[in-house]
Amino acid sequence: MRPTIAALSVVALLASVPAAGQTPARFYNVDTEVRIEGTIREIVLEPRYKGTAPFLVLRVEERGGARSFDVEIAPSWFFGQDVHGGERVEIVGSLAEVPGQAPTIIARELRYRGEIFKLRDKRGFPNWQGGSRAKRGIRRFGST
Amino acid sequence: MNRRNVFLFFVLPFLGAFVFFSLAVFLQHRGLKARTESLVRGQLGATAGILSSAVSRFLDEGLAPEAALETILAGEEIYFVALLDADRNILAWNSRFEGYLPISLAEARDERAAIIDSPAGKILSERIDLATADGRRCSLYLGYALTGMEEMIAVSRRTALLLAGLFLLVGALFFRILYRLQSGYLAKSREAEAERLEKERFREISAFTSGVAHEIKNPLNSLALVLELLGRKAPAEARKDVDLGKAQVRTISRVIDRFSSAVKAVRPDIEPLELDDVLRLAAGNLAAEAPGASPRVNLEFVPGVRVAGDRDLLAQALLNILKNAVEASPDGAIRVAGRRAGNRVEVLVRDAGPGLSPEAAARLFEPFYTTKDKGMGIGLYLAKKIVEAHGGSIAVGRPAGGGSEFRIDLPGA
Repeated sequence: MRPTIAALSVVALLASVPAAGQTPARFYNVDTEVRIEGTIREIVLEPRYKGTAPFLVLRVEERGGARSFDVEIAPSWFFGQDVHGGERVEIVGSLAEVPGQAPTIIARELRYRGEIFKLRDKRGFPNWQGGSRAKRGIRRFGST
Repeated sequence: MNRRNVFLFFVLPFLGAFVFFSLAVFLQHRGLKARTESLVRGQLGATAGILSSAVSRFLDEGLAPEAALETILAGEEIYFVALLDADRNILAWNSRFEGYLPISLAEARDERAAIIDSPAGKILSERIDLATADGRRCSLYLGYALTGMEEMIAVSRRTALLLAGLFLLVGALFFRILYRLQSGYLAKSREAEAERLEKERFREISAFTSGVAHEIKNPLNSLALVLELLGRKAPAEARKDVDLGKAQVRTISRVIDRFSSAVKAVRPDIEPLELDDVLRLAAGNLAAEAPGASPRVNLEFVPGVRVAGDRDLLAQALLNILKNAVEASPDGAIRVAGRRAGNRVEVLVRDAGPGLSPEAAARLFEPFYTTKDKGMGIGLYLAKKIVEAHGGSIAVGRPAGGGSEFRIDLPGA
């Protein structure tokens, strides 16, 4: 389940950018959970949390072009799916808004090409972390 | 033992004991869990107090909130930490799991501690108030891993399950053995009771028969005497009728003797005997009683085989069996053979008759059971009594070649 991430217009800002994690507002806040539909405009790999692998981040334009969001998906090693710019996605996640920065959504669920990818549990626990009781690997629902 | 009794005396007590034991183990497990939780909460509460003091000191020293929290997260058992202001806004946070900070400000409740179920295990979250030197009031929100406690509870659960399983196994085994012992005891009790009833019945019949025999034989003896005297005085033409009368009296007397012998207790005088001698004696008696049938009896002698028994009684038993055999096969040969089988001696009497039906074979040794028109059903019954009085057994079967085969088992000498 680890196909290559093809057709990525990757902007790999691996070591050059300081870790953006632990920003007060940027955690999975269940109180700010939103659901958006939009189109992928850009796909980037960014370090999001200190000491962890770069994350796959999608720049998504909301349907109707009202707003754009940085959607934090998962570490690139965990989400090894093909994603392409211009594709439609539906995202459920926690919205974090930091003044002066693009609003960020930490994705819990990604609906994409008719499949649902569960990335975190309802409290925001990352599925790639496993844990003694977690099921390893990305969980898919509604495969077509 | 019927199903109801098995359920009442074995299954129900066992299930009751198992339920009681399981309940005790379950309550013990619950108690341990509660005590462990309480202990862990107490310990973590103390740790939280120390950590909040440390954070407060770092803040007083001018350290940024993020840096202050980072020092706290160095502990392995702390999963996440956040510093909240007086309005519960998050000033800084840190987590071992990317973006995971399970705190809902919208659903914030007054409880300062709660247990969160996460894929990484149970987490105890706790909020502790702290104040800095410059008067700022903050809260420290901490998440502790309860893996140690969970492991302890899991061990307790496993132990409880193991004990319950062991109890189930040992209990099932115990009740199974108890059930078998009880069944065996009941079967023996039933046998003993049946034997007692049979003996009682036999005593009654014996007493009744002896009484009747005594009452009949006295006048019969007088009648025999009268007929004897009458025979001497009677004219020649009447003597034939008197002789017939005397013969009938003898027949009645013989019948009474046979009945009496059938109900009398058999008390053998045991001594070591050559089996061949007993067989010869029985064959000789048969020759005296039924001279025509005697040549058909084929004795297979086995020298050296010794049997422990009463010569006359055993010869009587064998005679009865031989008479039955020659009557069952009027023209066929009778084979009689003896052999040693371990410390026992086996005598086989095989006839060439039509064989016995299963019903007849089952009832053959019952008193007064007969398939013959003139039989009284006493001979084989008496044979069985004699053999059993010697500590032996007798059985009848249908051999492959036809006819019937009597198998007499006796103790060897």
